[in-house]
Amino acid sequence: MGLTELIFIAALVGATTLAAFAATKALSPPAAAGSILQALRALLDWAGMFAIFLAANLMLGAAVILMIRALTPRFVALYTLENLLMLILSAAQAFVFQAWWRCE
Amino acid sequence: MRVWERIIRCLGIVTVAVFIIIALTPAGNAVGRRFGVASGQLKRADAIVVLGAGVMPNGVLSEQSMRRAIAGIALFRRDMAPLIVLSGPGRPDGVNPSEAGVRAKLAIAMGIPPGSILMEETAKTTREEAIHIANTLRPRDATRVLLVTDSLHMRRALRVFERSGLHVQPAVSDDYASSAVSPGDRLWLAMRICQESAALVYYKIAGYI
Repeated sequence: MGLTELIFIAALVGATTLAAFAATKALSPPAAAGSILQALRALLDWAGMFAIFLAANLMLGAAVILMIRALTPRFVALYTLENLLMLILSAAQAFVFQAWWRCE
Repeated sequence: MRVWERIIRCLGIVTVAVFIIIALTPAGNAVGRRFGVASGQLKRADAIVVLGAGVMPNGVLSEQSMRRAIAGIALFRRDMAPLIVLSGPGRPDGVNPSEAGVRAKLAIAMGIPPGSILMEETAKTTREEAIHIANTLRPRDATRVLLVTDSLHMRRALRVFERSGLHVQPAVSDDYASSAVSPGDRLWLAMRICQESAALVYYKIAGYI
Protein backbone atom coordinates (compact mmCIF):
# COMPACT_ATOMS: atom_id res chain seq x y z
CA MET A 1 0.00 0.00 0.00
CA GLY A 2 1.43 3.34 -1.06
CA LEU A 3 1.58 6.50 1.04
CA THR A 4 -1.14 8.10 -1.13
CA GLU A 5 -3.58 5.25 -0.39
CA LEU A 6 -2.72 5.42 3.31
CA ILE A 7 -3.36 9.19 3.41
CA PHE A 8 -6.60 8.69 1.45
CA ILE A 9 -7.93 6.08 3.91
CA ALA A 10 -6.79 8.11 6.96
CA ALA A 11 -8.51 11.18 5.47
CA LEU A 12 -11.75 9.21 5.00
CA VAL A 13 -11.69 8.03 8.62
CA GLY A 14 -10.84 11.56 9.82
CA ALA A 15 -13.70 13.07 7.79
CA THR A 16 -16.35 10.64 9.06
CA THR A 17 -15.07 11.09 12.65
CA LEU A 18 -15.40 14.88 12.40
CA ALA A 19 -18.83 14.52 10.77
CA ALA A 20 -20.01 12.20 13.55
CA PHE A 21 -18.63 14.59 16.19
CA ALA A 22 -20.35 17.62 14.62
CA ALA A 23 -23.65 15.78 14.04
CA THR A 24 -23.75 14.44 17.60
CA LYS A 25 -23.08 17.91 19.04
CA ALA A 26 -25.79 19.47 16.92
CA LEU A 27 -28.50 16.81 17.09
CA SER A 28 -28.05 14.97 20.37
CA PRO A 29 -25.36 16.44 22.61
CA PRO A 30 -24.33 14.00 25.35
CA ALA A 31 -25.09 15.06 28.92
CA ALA A 32 -21.55 14.37 30.13
CA ALA A 33 -19.10 13.57 27.36
CA GLY A 34 -15.73 12.09 28.30
CA SER A 35 -12.42 13.23 26.86
CA ILE A 36 -10.82 11.84 23.71
CA LEU A 37 -7.94 10.64 25.89
CA GLN A 38 -10.37 8.53 27.93
CA ALA A 39 -11.79 7.06 24.75
CA LEU A 40 -8.28 6.20 23.50
CA ARG A 41 -7.49 4.53 26.82
CA ALA A 42 -10.65 2.45 26.44
CA LEU A 43 -9.45 1.45 22.95
CA LEU A 44 -6.10 0.29 24.37
CA ASP A 45 -7.87 -1.66 27.13
CA TRP A 46 -10.08 -3.32 24.52
CA ALA A 47 -7.03 -4.18 22.39
CA GLY A 48 -5.33 -5.75 25.42
CA MET A 49 -8.42 -7.79 26.28
CA PHE A 50 -8.78 -8.84 22.64
CA ALA A 51 -5.18 -10.15 22.61
CA ILE A 52 -5.82 -12.13 25.81
CA PHE A 53 -9.13 -13.62 24.62
CA LEU A 54 -7.73 -14.47 21.17
CA ALA A 55 -4.69 -16.21 22.67
CA ALA A 56 -6.88 -18.09 25.17
CA ASN A 57 -9.35 -19.18 22.46
CA LEU A 58 -6.53 -20.37 20.18
CA MET A 59 -4.74 -22.27 22.95
CA LEU A 60 -7.94 -23.91 24.18
CA GLY A 61 -8.93 -24.75 20.60
CA ALA A 62 -5.55 -26.36 19.86
CA ALA A 63 -5.69 -28.37 23.10
CA VAL A 64 -9.23 -29.63 22.37
CA ILE A 65 -8.31 -30.59 18.79
CA LEU A 66 -5.17 -32.46 19.90
CA MET A 67 -7.22 -34.26 22.56
CA ILE A 68 -9.87 -35.29 20.00
CA ARG A 69 -7.10 -36.58 17.74
CA ALA A 70 -5.47 -38.50 20.60
CA LEU A 71 -8.59 -39.96 22.20
CA THR A 72 -10.88 -40.64 19.23
CA PRO A 73 -10.39 -41.97 15.68
CA ARG A 74 -11.76 -38.67 14.37
CA PHE A 75 -9.37 -36.27 12.62
CA VAL A 76 -9.84 -32.55 13.14
CA ALA A 77 -7.44 -30.21 11.34
CA LEU A 78 -5.68 -27.53 13.37
CA TYR A 79 -6.47 -25.26 10.41
CA THR A 80 -10.03 -25.19 11.80
CA LEU A 81 -8.73 -22.47 14.10
CA GLU A 82 -7.73 -20.36 11.08
CA ASN A 83 -11.12 -18.75 10.91
CA LEU A 84 -12.18 -15.12 10.60
CA LEU A 85 -15.03 -15.86 13.00
CA MET A 86 -12.46 -16.53 15.72
CA LEU A 87 -11.11 -12.97 15.36
CA ILE A 88 -14.57 -11.39 15.25
CA LEU A 89 -15.89 -13.35 18.26
CA SER A 90 -12.73 -12.68 20.29
CA ALA A 91 -13.13 -8.96 19.52
CA ALA A 92 -16.81 -9.05 20.56
CA GLN A 93 -15.94 -11.07 23.66
CA ALA A 94 -13.34 -8.43 24.67
CA PHE A 95 -15.80 -5.58 24.03
CA VAL A 96 -18.61 -7.13 26.10
CA PHE A 97 -16.25 -8.16 28.90
CA GLN A 98 -14.72 -4.69 29.04
CA ALA A 99 -18.16 -3.00 29.11
CA TRP A 100 -19.28 -5.32 31.93
CA TRP A 101 -16.06 -4.81 33.85
CA ARG A 102 -16.29 -0.98 33.55
CA CYS A 103 -19.93 -0.99 34.71
CA GLU A 104 -19.11 -3.01 37.79
CA MET B 1 -5.25 1.73 38.77
CA ARG B 2 -4.78 -1.91 39.73
CA VAL B 3 -1.76 -3.86 38.52
CA TRP B 4 -3.66 -6.11 36.15
CA GLU B 5 -5.48 -3.14 34.63
CA ARG B 6 -2.07 -1.67 33.91
CA ILE B 7 -0.94 -4.96 32.38
CA ILE B 8 -4.01 -5.10 30.11
CA ARG B 9 -3.40 -1.51 28.96
CA CYS B 10 0.29 -2.23 28.27
CA LEU B 11 -0.75 -5.33 26.32
CA GLY B 12 -3.19 -3.13 24.40
CA ILE B 13 -0.37 -0.71 23.50
CA VAL B 14 1.77 -3.62 22.31
CA THR B 15 -1.14 -5.10 20.32
CA VAL B 16 -1.87 -1.81 18.55
CA ALA B 17 1.85 -1.22 17.87
CA VAL B 18 2.34 -4.74 16.49
CA PHE B 19 -0.78 -4.35 14.32
CA ILE B 20 0.50 -1.06 12.86
CA ILE B 21 4.00 -2.47 12.24
CA ILE B 22 2.67 -5.63 10.59
CA ALA B 23 -0.03 -4.00 8.48
CA LEU B 24 1.69 -0.80 7.39
CA THR B 25 5.41 -1.56 7.20
CA PRO B 26 7.44 -4.15 5.26
CA ALA B 27 8.75 -5.68 8.53
CA GLY B 28 6.49 -8.73 8.12
CA ASN B 29 7.74 -9.22 4.56
CA ALA B 30 11.35 -9.27 5.79
CA VAL B 31 10.48 -11.85 8.46
CA GLY B 32 8.56 -13.87 5.86
CA ARG B 33 11.54 -13.90 3.49
CA ARG B 34 13.80 -15.18 6.28
CA PHE B 35 11.26 -17.77 7.41
CA GLY B 36 10.24 -18.99 3.95
CA VAL B 37 12.29 -21.30 1.76
CA ALA B 38 13.13 -20.40 -1.82
CA SER B 39 13.62 -22.77 -4.74
CA GLY B 40 17.23 -23.37 -5.67
CA GLN B 41 18.59 -24.39 -9.06
CA LEU B 42 16.27 -27.32 -9.77
CA LYS B 43 17.74 -30.55 -11.14
CA ARG B 44 15.81 -33.35 -12.82
CA ALA B 45 14.34 -35.74 -10.23
CA ASP B 46 12.48 -39.05 -10.07
CA ALA B 47 9.14 -37.50 -9.13
CA ILE B 48 7.35 -34.23 -8.53
CA VAL B 49 5.37 -34.23 -5.27
CA VAL B 50 2.57 -31.68 -4.97
CA LEU B 51 1.30 -31.33 -1.39
CA GLY B 52 -2.38 -30.84 -0.60
CA ALA B 53 -3.93 -27.54 0.46
CA GLY B 54 -7.67 -28.16 0.53
CA VAL B 55 -10.70 -28.45 -1.70
CA MET B 56 -13.94 -26.55 -1.20
CA PRO B 57 -17.30 -28.31 -0.56
CA ASN B 58 -18.31 -27.80 -4.21
CA GLY B 59 -15.24 -29.69 -5.41
CA VAL B 60 -13.26 -26.57 -6.46
CA LEU B 61 -9.60 -26.42 -5.42
CA SER B 62 -8.62 -23.79 -2.86
CA GLU B 63 -6.47 -20.95 -4.18
CA GLN B 64 -3.33 -22.41 -2.61
CA SER B 65 -4.11 -25.90 -3.84
CA MET B 66 -4.58 -24.59 -7.38
CA ARG B 67 -1.32 -22.61 -7.22
CA ARG B 68 0.62 -25.66 -6.04
CA ALA B 69 -1.01 -27.92 -8.65
CA ILE B 70 -0.18 -25.50 -11.49
CA ALA B 71 3.44 -25.20 -10.25
CA GLY B 72 3.75 -29.01 -10.20
CA ILE B 73 2.18 -29.40 -13.64
CA ALA B 74 4.51 -26.70 -15.02
CA LEU B 75 7.51 -28.62 -13.66
CA PHE B 76 6.27 -31.81 -15.31
CA ARG B 77 5.79 -29.98 -18.60
CA ARG B 78 9.42 -28.80 -18.32
CA ASP B 79 10.35 -32.51 -18.15
CA MET B 80 11.77 -32.20 -14.63
CA ALA B 81 10.54 -35.70 -13.65
CA PRO B 82 8.72 -38.65 -15.24
CA LEU B 83 6.16 -38.91 -12.42
CA ILE B 84 3.90 -36.47 -10.61
CA VAL B 85 2.33 -37.28 -7.23
CA LEU B 86 -0.81 -35.27 -6.51
CA SER B 87 -1.82 -35.28 -2.86
CA GLY B 88 -5.02 -34.23 -1.12
CA PRO B 89 -7.73 -36.15 0.73
CA GLY B 90 -11.45 -36.03 0.10
CA ARG B 91 -13.77 -34.01 2.29
CA PRO B 92 -15.30 -35.82 5.30
CA ASP B 93 -18.76 -35.80 3.61
CA GLY B 94 -17.20 -37.87 0.79
CA VAL B 95 -19.67 -36.46 -1.76
CA ASN B 96 -17.19 -34.90 -4.16
CA PRO B 97 -13.92 -36.31 -5.54
CA SER B 98 -10.81 -35.91 -3.41
CA GLU B 99 -8.46 -32.94 -3.81
CA ALA B 100 -5.99 -35.31 -5.50
CA GLY B 101 -8.75 -36.46 -7.87
CA VAL B 102 -9.66 -32.89 -8.84
CA ARG B 103 -5.98 -32.10 -9.40
CA ALA B 104 -5.50 -35.24 -11.51
CA LYS B 105 -8.40 -34.18 -13.77
CA LEU B 106 -6.78 -30.76 -14.14
CA ALA B 107 -3.37 -32.32 -14.88
CA ILE B 108 -4.85 -34.61 -17.57
CA ALA B 109 -6.69 -31.64 -19.10
CA MET B 110 -3.33 -29.84 -19.23
CA GLY B 111 -1.74 -32.64 -21.19
CA ILE B 112 -0.15 -34.88 -18.56
CA PRO B 113 -0.47 -38.59 -19.44
CA PRO B 114 -2.66 -40.41 -16.86
CA GLY B 115 0.05 -43.08 -16.51
CA SER B 116 2.47 -40.49 -15.10
CA ILE B 117 0.09 -39.43 -12.32
CA LEU B 118 0.02 -40.97 -8.84
CA MET B 119 -2.57 -39.90 -6.29
CA GLU B 120 -2.31 -39.78 -2.50
CA GLU B 121 -5.84 -39.48 -1.17
CA THR B 122 -5.61 -40.64 2.44
CA ALA B 123 -2.99 -38.45 4.15
CA LYS B 124 -4.49 -35.68 6.27
CA THR B 125 -1.32 -34.02 7.58
CA THR B 126 2.07 -33.08 6.13
CA ARG B 127 3.68 -35.89 8.13
CA GLU B 128 1.20 -38.47 6.81
CA GLU B 129 1.80 -37.18 3.28
CA ALA B 130 5.56 -37.71 3.75
CA ILE B 131 5.14 -41.26 5.08
CA HIS B 132 2.53 -42.40 2.51
CA ILE B 133 4.28 -40.81 -0.47
CA ALA B 134 7.68 -42.22 0.55
CA ASN B 135 6.05 -45.68 0.81
CA THR B 136 4.52 -45.24 -2.65
CA LEU B 137 7.72 -44.01 -4.30
CA ARG B 138 10.27 -46.34 -2.71
CA PRO B 139 9.17 -49.52 -4.59
CA ARG B 140 9.52 -47.52 -7.83
CA ASP B 141 13.11 -46.53 -6.95
CA ALA B 142 12.01 -42.92 -6.96
CA THR B 143 13.84 -41.27 -4.08
CA ARG B 144 14.83 -37.89 -5.55
CA VAL B 145 11.81 -35.60 -5.50
CA LEU B 146 10.90 -32.04 -6.33
CA LEU B 147 8.64 -30.97 -3.49
CA VAL B 148 5.98 -28.43 -4.39
CA THR B 149 4.32 -26.40 -1.66
CA ASP B 150 4.15 -22.75 -0.61
CA SER B 151 7.29 -21.03 0.63
CA LEU B 152 6.12 -20.73 4.27
CA HIS B 153 5.04 -24.38 4.52
CA MET B 154 8.24 -25.60 2.84
CA ARG B 155 10.51 -25.45 5.92
CA ARG B 156 8.42 -28.04 7.80
CA ALA B 157 7.55 -30.09 4.71
CA LEU B 158 11.20 -30.32 3.67
CA ARG B 159 12.28 -31.67 7.07
CA VAL B 160 9.50 -34.21 7.37
CA PHE B 161 10.03 -35.52 3.80
CA GLU B 162 13.81 -35.79 4.33
CA ARG B 163 13.05 -37.66 7.56
CA SER B 164 11.00 -40.16 5.54
CA GLY B 165 14.11 -41.00 3.51
CA LEU B 166 13.58 -38.99 0.34
CA HIS B 167 16.13 -36.62 -1.23
CA VAL B 168 14.20 -33.40 -1.56
CA GLN B 169 14.63 -30.27 -3.67
CA PRO B 170 12.27 -27.45 -2.70
CA ALA B 171 10.19 -26.06 -5.57
CA VAL B 172 8.04 -23.35 -4.07
CA SER B 173 4.73 -22.41 -5.63
CA ASP B 174 4.75 -18.76 -4.52
CA ASP B 175 6.78 -15.92 -3.11
CA TYR B 176 4.15 -14.61 -0.74
CA ALA B 177 6.63 -12.80 1.50
CA SER B 178 7.49 -10.46 -1.38
CA SER B 179 4.08 -10.17 -3.00
CA ALA B 180 2.10 -9.29 0.17
CA VAL B 181 1.89 -5.49 -0.04
CA SER B 182 -1.62 -4.58 1.11
CA PRO B 183 -2.35 -4.45 4.88
CA GLY B 184 -4.73 -7.40 4.58
CA ASP B 185 -2.14 -9.53 2.79
CA ARG B 186 0.54 -8.58 5.31
CA LEU B 187 -1.72 -9.55 8.22
CA TRP B 188 -2.41 -12.88 6.51
CA LEU B 189 1.34 -13.35 5.99
CA ALA B 190 1.98 -12.68 9.70
CA MET B 191 -0.73 -15.15 10.64
CA ARG B 192 0.78 -17.84 8.39
CA ILE B 193 4.25 -17.26 9.89
CA CYS B 194 2.80 -17.65 13.42
CA GLN B 195 0.86 -20.74 12.36
CA GLU B 196 3.88 -22.41 10.73
CA SER B 197 6.13 -21.50 13.67
CA ALA B 198 3.66 -23.18 16.04
CA ALA B 199 3.45 -26.21 13.73
CA LEU B 200 7.27 -26.46 13.63
CA VAL B 201 7.40 -26.41 17.43
CA TYR B 202 4.67 -29.08 17.57
CA TYR B 203 6.48 -31.30 15.03
CA LYS B 204 9.73 -30.87 16.94
CA ILE B 205 8.15 -31.76 20.31
CA ALA B 206 6.32 -34.74 18.79
CA GLY B 207 9.62 -35.95 17.29
CA TYR B 208 8.39 -35.80 13.68
CA ILE B 209 11.34 -33.68 12.54
